[in-house]
Amino acid sequence: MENLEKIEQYLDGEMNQEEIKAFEKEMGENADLAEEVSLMRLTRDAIKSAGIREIVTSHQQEYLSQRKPAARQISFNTRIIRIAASILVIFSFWGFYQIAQTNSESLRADYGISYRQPVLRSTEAEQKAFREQYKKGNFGQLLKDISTIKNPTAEQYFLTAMAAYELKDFNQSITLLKEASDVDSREIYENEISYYTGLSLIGQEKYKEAYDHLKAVKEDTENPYSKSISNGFLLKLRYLAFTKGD
Amino acid sequence: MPQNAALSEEEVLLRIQSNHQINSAVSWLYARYYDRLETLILRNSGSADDAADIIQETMIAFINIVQQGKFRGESGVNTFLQSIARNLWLGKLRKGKSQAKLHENWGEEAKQESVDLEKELQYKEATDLVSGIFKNLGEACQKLLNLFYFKELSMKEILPEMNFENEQVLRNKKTKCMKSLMAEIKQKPVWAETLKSALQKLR
Repeated sequence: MENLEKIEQYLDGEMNQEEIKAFEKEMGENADLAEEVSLMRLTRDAIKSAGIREIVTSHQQEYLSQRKPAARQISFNTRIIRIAASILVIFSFWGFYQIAQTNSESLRADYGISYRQPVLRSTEAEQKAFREQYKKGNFGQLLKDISTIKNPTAEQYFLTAMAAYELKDFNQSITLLKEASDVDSREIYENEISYYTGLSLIGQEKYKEAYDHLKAVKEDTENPYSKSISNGFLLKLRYLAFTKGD
Repeated sequence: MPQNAALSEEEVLLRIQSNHQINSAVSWLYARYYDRLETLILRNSGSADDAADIIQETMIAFINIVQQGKFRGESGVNTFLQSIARNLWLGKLRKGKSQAKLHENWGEEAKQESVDLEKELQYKEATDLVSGIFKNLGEACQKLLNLFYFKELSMKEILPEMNFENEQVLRNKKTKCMKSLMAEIKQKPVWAETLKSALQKLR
């Protein structure tokens, strides 16, 4: 310990050349002194290191406290993404639920359009009577009357097919629509026949056939019923075809 | 964008070495390397808290090595910092007898750097031990020794900062503080032994 001042002078460079030489000679001969010098050197480095630690610690705290808002920003963005993903999942489930709830009845009710007579195309008494019956909703009567007519027109077949469709007699509606198509030489009812044949096939639960049929109607841009067939409708129809194993 | 973002690596090293404007240099190191070092620790079985501890010690070791003029910059600051962090983290894992292994993609090692990192980090451990004892000294001694050895101010420059009559009295006070610090170190045989063995290895 008594060497401390001397060691300090040596380490601080306060000795002249002769003193340095003598001190280093002494260190070479005295291991305890050499150890003392090393310990003093280490102690001085430790004091420096304590100063560095103070600066580093304060910078680290500052850096981490400034970084927190950025972390919050990330978590905010993550939250937004999570909310968006949740909405997407909810919509997906909702969509899937909607599709899963679909059946023949709901599909026709939601998307099918009931036939409304647009304009009167003939004034003949028999034709007029047919139209009146359809207007009044006497569908059963129409089905009886069609068998009494010798050569029904395309209009009579078609209106009777619509009557059968309204009565959910889909086998009959399809048969009558075919008859209407056969006699519809001027193709007046061509678009209607295509559309209602598709809906009747749904009524018969022949979903794959209905899908192909109505997809063709949708793709036919000249058919006014094309716009009434949405992609959602076709998707649901496809789902029904899949679940039925068509 | 912080002002120090425009500093070059050379300027940062000069500021650390000269201990002048060291705050801007440390701030630059944190802004540039903290996240990279943290990612390395996190990828190698460490937590965010582990990363914070290791990075702090990495920075202290790096500054010490630079101030002693032992870092020549052959490997670049980034690689050298990674090497220090790797050694410190390995040491911590070994002490904790952890089975966790280092990820292969830790990064390049500063092999081209002539510094013997293992020795430097052993020396750092010894200085940390003494720093702890230093922190138990009285406030006046801590301030005086800090101004003299860390800030490298002369007695003339320190005098206005402290309430002493003249430079000689201040000089005597400094010697007294050092004596009590050395005595404190020697009073703890375990520490003295640890330091002695660290010093022997370093010779």
